Amino acid sequence: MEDNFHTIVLGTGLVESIIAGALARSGKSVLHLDQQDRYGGSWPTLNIRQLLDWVDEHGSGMGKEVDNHVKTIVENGSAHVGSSIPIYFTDNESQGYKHVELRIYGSSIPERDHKEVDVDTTISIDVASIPLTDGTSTRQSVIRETVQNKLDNTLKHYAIGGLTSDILNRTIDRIIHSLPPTSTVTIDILPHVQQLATYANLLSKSRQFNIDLAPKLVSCTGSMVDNLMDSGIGRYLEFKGVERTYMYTQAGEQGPHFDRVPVSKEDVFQDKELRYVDKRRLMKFLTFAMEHEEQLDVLDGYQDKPYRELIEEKFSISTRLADAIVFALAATNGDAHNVTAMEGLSRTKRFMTSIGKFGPFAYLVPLYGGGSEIAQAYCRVCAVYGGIYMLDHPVSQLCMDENKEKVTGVIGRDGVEYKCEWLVAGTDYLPSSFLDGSDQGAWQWVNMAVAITSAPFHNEVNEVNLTVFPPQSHPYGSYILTVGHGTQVCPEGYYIVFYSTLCGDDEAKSDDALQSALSATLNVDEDPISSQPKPLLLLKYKRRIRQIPPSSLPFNLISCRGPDDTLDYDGALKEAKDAFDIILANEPDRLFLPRPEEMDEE
Amino acid sequence: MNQYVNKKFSNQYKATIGADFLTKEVMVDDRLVTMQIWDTAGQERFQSLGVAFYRGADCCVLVYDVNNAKSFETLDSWRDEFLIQASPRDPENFPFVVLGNKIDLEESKRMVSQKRAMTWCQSKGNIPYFETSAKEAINVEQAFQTIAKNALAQETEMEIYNDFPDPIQLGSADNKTDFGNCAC
Repeated sequence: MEDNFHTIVLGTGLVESIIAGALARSGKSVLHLDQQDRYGGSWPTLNIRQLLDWVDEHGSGMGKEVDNHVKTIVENGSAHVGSSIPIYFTDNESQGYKHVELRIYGSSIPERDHKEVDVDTTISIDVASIPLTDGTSTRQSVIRETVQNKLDNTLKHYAIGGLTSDILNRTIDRIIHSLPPTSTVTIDILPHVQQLATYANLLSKSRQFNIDLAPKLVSCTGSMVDNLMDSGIGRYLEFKGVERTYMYTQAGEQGPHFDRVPVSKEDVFQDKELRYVDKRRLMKFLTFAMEHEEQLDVLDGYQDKPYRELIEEKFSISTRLADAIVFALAATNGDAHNVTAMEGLSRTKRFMTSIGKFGPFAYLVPLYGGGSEIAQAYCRVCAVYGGIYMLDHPVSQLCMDENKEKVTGVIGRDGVEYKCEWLVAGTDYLPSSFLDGSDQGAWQWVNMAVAITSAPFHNEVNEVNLTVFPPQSHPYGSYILTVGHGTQVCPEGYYIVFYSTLCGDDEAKSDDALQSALSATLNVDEDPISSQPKPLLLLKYKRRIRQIPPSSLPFNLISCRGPDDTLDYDGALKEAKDAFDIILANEPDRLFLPRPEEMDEE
Repeated sequence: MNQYVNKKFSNQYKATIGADFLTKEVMVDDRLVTMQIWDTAGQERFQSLGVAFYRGADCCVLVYDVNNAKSFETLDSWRDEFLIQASPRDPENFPFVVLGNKIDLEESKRMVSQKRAMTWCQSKGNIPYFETSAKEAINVEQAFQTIAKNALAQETEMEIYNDFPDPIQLGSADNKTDFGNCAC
């Protein structure tokens, strides 16, 4: 294989993959590497097995895996003549997340047909009667064996199988941990067995789950849709529309509840909850938003004021409806709370224009997962135009020229040095000296949660919906995306619910906001009188948004951000397009992902 | 696949560069079927075919070179890989077709006998087997007719389960798309 490329791309995240596809499409030789054995980089979509591994790797309290292969190679030295800098991918990658917490909820255990009596799930141990040590066994090991036997027999009785020894051992540890320090102990292991039943159920369907850890929407009138259509890459993908938008309201006569947000004029007409006067005002406002560029005089000093003030003061729209407009109809960013009237109007107009382009909705979600799925479509284009792909291929060193001004290539796991004119890298592949150069304080966090449930939390059943939590104790509010089996991300009868809220300056308030969104939708605390569905799995984590200033990097190294805080993918596309323009600045005639020739023949 | 769709053959190395997926219309039992034939685009070279490649396939075409024993011996792992990655609803009955290609070369170069190939196909649930020459256009039409027919039978079965509206596609709207996978 050749070892000289125009561009080497490290990481298969969305931005990296779009750049790889665009460069190969323009005839440039591309080598695309990823340290991990799956596509997506910091936009991962995982099945259940991968998700559990991911939690082990990123969860608190777990020892961080050291990049041993890097250390070995560095210690052994290499043949490179210039200077080379080690890359500690695993360390970098794990720093992209914090506060990872997984909770698995118990499932009711199916009755067995031939069951004579309920199997007894209690264990009684007369601890005092067990000698502290007896030959090879200790009191500790006798207790462990008793628990293990009971658990094994119970699992066998209920035909719960397919569990890893890791999960079983941890359960035994937890049971032993929960034993009271008394001389005789009695404990019912049923809750643990019920939890293992959930594990077994999810693991048996592992590959039917595609859980996106950086969920986003595709805006129907956004640049991503245009690029997918213009480039023909959209042919590799399939989508579903976001059928409904809901908004959570805490106050009011009804108590806390969800309202369906009218997203089109038809919706406004058909809405049974809205008073006539509200309908009329809302229609008037939406009509104005569509034509606001021609009627700037109406704005009358409101241009730069908060969007909400325009809506409430100028159009006399109620607070509840104003929330709907600001957070559901004008939201593309986490900044909805401080959007100006002008910006808000253009977002609302864009939203209204999106409705009807592909159906009665403004957003799409890709089938089988999000960013990782779209990234793979761009990678395929790269491969089709000659790009070389190596997954599961750790990169240990970055090679620089003697003056340390220019990247000359990378050294891979195989010890081979691959040379390049340009290096494009996800931030996880940057040597720590480059990462440390960026201002850590400016790194933002997004508070995320993902739940798997077997029942939807809205009364209406639909495949894809967006639920907006306007800000209460926290300036950012929360967005909740619910997807069902129709999007091919979970088996029939299951739903995946994604929660996200920005951390901002006050992490504790952000945690509260996320928690109240969770509590308002699912029975996360296993309250026996709750009518909300209890999840099967709940994963909470915080994802870092990293931005490395180009000034701290060599001129021919472009670093790619992971997922940002916006609702859609358009920021990722723009970042990729900007990188393409920098790399091919001397060839201004090159088009960014032009239409393939065979599509013109059709 | 170039031979099949465009009736031309290219024996250049990397012949598939720029050839994304090809579409071909065939008649199956009086129905016009548009087939999308995807190849691996070289991403298999370093075991880097992503799971997205396998999504929604209606048929998997495994192609080996009858003059290369190793290419035959890897069929087993390719079949397993497909079933793992694509996770079809009914793996036992998922349609595969095996093509023994390059039969136009002289007989002395042949490394895999027809009998050996057919025995393997039978042991994997009677996979249809064709000996083809993309260069001489031998058996190519017949093989793809079978691929279309079996893929369509699978599709019909799937539609019974599927009570959702069709997903949204961006780009050219094909009314009927089946796609296969050429591991060649």
